[in-house]
Amino acid sequence: MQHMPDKDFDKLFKDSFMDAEIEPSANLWGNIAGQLEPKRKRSFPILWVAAASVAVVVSVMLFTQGQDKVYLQGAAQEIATVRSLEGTPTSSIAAAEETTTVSAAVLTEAKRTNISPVRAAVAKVEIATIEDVQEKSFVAMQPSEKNEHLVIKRGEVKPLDVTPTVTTAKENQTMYASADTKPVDYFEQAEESDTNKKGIRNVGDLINYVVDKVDKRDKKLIKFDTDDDDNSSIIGLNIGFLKLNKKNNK
Amino acid sequence: MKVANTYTLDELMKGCKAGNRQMQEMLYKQTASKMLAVCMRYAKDRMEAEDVLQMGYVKIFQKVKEFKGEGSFEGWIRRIMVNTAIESYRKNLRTLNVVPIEDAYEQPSTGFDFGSLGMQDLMKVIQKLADGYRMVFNMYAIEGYSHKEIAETLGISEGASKSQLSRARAILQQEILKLEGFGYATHAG
Repeated sequence: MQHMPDKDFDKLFKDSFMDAEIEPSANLWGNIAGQLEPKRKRSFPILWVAAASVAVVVSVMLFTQGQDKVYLQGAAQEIATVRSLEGTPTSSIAAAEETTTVSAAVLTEAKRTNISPVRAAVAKVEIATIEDVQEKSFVAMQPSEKNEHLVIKRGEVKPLDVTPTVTTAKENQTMYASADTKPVDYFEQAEESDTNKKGIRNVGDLINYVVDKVDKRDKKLIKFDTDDDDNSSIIGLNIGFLKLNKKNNK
Repeated sequence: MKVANTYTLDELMKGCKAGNRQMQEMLYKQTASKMLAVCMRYAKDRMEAEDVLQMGYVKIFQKVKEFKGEGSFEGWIRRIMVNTAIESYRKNLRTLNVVPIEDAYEQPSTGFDFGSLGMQDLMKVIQKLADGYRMVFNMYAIEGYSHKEIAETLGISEGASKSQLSRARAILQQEILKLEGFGYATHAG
């Protein structure tokens, strides 16, 4: 051994180790596989988590949006029509209610007196009052078809008063009252149309415009209160489960 | 490790290139015991060797796509294993601490054969070498590196490589003589 040349000495080791095999621990493959696994788990899960979260958010939005649209679009039209009816007729209905109460009072008076002369008077007064009313209403500058209808109703009712002068006087009073209420309506309508025709001056207006085109619901997805000073503030919010409407709170 | 496998190394290599986990495991089972023997030569003990083995296989499965078929697949695997072992050594470069020669008497091989030294005995002797000696001896005597390559790889001078090799040989011879003497002594006694 001690006299063995270096080459042979080295060869002894080389040959000995040539086909050497030592059984590794049983758990070693598990460790290797575990080390290979995380690489894949790390690269994919981030994508998967991101994709999943986006999917969840989108689906939730679509779900709630879809529900609202299906439900509210049908209702929106109804509300719209109801509103449009409400816009003008409310005043007439209110006026009609007034007249009916008046007529009720008048009728009670009429019952005390004779009925047949009253009817005759009614016919005469009717014509007079209608003419009067038409004139008065033109003077009031804001005549409307509905107004005329009201006038006729009032005309039918008022003549029940015994003295025609009194009824005309009452007519005048009520007419002034009705004439007063109508212009207010017009002003409001004018204001509304004004806001719509303001145009897009700032981001709030732009969002309102876009939302208005997209969201046909009465309570928009989002609505901004805008003014000329470029100040916008959210006054309306409707994200399905979350609703905010400052106008309602006022 | 004798596994009755119907797959050749080439087939396993293709499976590994495709990232097939089953093929990876088959390749491991077919080659791991040989590779652990390689790692053992470079390591101080079995634990360190298995750490290197694990790192080596992870590297093999990650780099298998780079194998172009030049030379044998097993040779490529072995090369990666050796490189991993050297890398590991360089990472935790320890000071050359020569193991006391007396320790060689501990843990005599049970399968000791007179005249011809068993692989496990040689392994023990090599593992008792100081890290630097062990590296140089392994790389030169068994892997066939030149002193120039060893010097470049380990970041030492060629002269240092040569002197460490001859020092390693001397220590190994001494150790083997002691092992043989121990063997004779036990059997004689």
